[in-house]
Amino acid sequence: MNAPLVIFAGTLAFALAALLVRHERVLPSLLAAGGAALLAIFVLGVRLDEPFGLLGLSVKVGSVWGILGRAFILGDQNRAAIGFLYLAAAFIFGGGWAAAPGRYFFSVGLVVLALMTASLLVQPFLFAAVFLELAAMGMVVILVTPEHPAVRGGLRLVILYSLAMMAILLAGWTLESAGLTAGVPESASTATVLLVVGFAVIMAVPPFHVWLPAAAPRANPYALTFVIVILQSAGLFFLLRFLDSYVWLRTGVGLMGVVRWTGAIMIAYGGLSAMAQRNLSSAVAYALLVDFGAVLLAVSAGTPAGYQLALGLTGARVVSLSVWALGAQILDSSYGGVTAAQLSGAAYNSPLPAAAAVVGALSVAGVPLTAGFPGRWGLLSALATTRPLAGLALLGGMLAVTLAILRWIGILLRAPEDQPVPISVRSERVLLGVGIGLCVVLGVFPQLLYPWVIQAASSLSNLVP
Amino acid sequence: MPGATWAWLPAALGMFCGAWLAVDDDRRRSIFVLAGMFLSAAGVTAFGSGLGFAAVTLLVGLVACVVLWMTASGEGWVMAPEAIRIPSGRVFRLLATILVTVAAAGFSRANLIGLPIQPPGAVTASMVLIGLGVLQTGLSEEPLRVGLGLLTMLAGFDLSYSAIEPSVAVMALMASAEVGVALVVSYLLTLTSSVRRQRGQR
Repeated sequence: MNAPLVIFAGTLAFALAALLVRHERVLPSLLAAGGAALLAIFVLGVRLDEPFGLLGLSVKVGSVWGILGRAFILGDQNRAAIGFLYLAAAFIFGGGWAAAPGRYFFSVGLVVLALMTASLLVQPFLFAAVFLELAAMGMVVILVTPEHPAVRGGLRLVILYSLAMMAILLAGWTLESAGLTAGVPESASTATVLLVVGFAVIMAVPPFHVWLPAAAPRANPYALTFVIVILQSAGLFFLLRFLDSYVWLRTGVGLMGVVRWTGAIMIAYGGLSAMAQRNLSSAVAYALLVDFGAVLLAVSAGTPAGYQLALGLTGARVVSLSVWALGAQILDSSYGGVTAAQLSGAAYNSPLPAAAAVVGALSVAGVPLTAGFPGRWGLLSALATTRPLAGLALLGGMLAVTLAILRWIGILLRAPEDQPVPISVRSERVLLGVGIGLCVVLGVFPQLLYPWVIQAASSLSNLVP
Repeated sequence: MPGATWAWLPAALGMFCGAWLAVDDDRRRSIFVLAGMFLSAAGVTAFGSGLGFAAVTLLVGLVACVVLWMTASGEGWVMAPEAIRIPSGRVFRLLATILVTVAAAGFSRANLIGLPIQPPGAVTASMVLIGLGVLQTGLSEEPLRVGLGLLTMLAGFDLSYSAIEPSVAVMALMASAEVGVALVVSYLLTLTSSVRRQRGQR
């Protein structure tokens, strides 16, 4: 028995079970969340390559699964990252029953999770690019449903990830043929350009972000959240593995400067665009660009603290975005959409969904007393002394997004014009209350979340010695 | 490899098929031409990486074509009208195709990445197909047309990558990506048609 096979087989078994009960409301959500949580515990806790006792039997779980001349390896270098992905997915699946994200959300979501895991396990790790593309294809099925036909966003996602896969695979070949060093400057610069293009797509750097604003207004907010959280988290882990493996890449060719400027431009663009949106989902999509830009700024610091902050921000995003999505989805189904006209005065009839959407969005913006704030504060503190201009850009972006959300609060609190719509049921209200509470508690007590999320960085031995 | 210069023949045919796909509006003909393109790509691969790899290229391409054919036969053979305003007249596409082909062929002569690819014509065919695929995906938002563009792009990339990474695992992964594209496009095609039908009924 080996761990990679157990992870894949377990994930696919839970996916099959969720598929079989897809017509139920709560059961697929419980199966997917429970399965993902169980597998996260297995990934984080299993003793590898050493015998241990289980139910009176001696069991040994290997760390390597070889197939077609390639290997999937679970080890200290990737188990924290995989555990993070499974826990994030369990968190999102857990509240999924209230958001009605589509019949295939849970089963396809688990398959996508297996593909993401494969991208983190595969050796040589360059082939992760192909698994990321396959995962993006699965994401299309989650994103585009008969109820939410966001076809344009889905198509753009597949096109962009195909381009990213090609760029990263060619970069990998160039690096290998140049001997894995910067010894051949021409090859090194070619590889760097290809890598920059590949990761720009994966990190949704403009203009490669086009799938996100195209998908946001038409997709189910909860499904969109799953897609963003899982794709972006896996993309960040992939980027960090590249930086961990190729020393010259982070020290020699000015890449970190490019990453910093890119992050600052993303923040400015995302902040300004968020203010101009007349659809709540689109506003949050652009607010996310600010968040992605903040992650890039953290990575560009090139320090262990910077990498840990990037992971902390990614962890906080799981909570913030899920809470927003739950509220937004309930508003969407109650009012037939989340445009300014449709949500005018919605806070009076649907106070908890409106509050969840607002608190989640404020947390994405990094407002104090929300889960998103501690990471932003840490980043601002670090940038204030080393890169004040980048720090100002981040502060400006956060202010712009906060202003955009304040505008949405005004819209939600307008005098209602229509007849009251049915408010959410009790179980949904409990879930929304827990979500809002979680956002605030994690903002007040960040030590509940951040320390174990940044543990994922400890496995990158060259980045975090 | 003996007779490798003959590889120009399938390479040229493949480029012609790629160009045809960018211009034609008929779904049935386009899928036939796509199959022809995969046959040509397999021909080029046979000269460079051997018959085994060529057989896999052809088989995977044909599977993708069958998936698209089955979907298109259920949804209709005429491309759906574009929902957004992209310049998409046939003359415009023809001119763009000529431009991209010339540019990609010129780019391949420089071989900036230094791809050590044999046989002759493989780099040119690869770059031209990638260029034409990108062009198609940029010129349309109709799922089948985008799918044809993606498959053209992946077939072009496959020509290069199977030569520089000649391993079974890589072939299997690339094949799964191509079949995956066909399946996703079929899903989107079916879904858009059913949504359009529902709107029409209302």
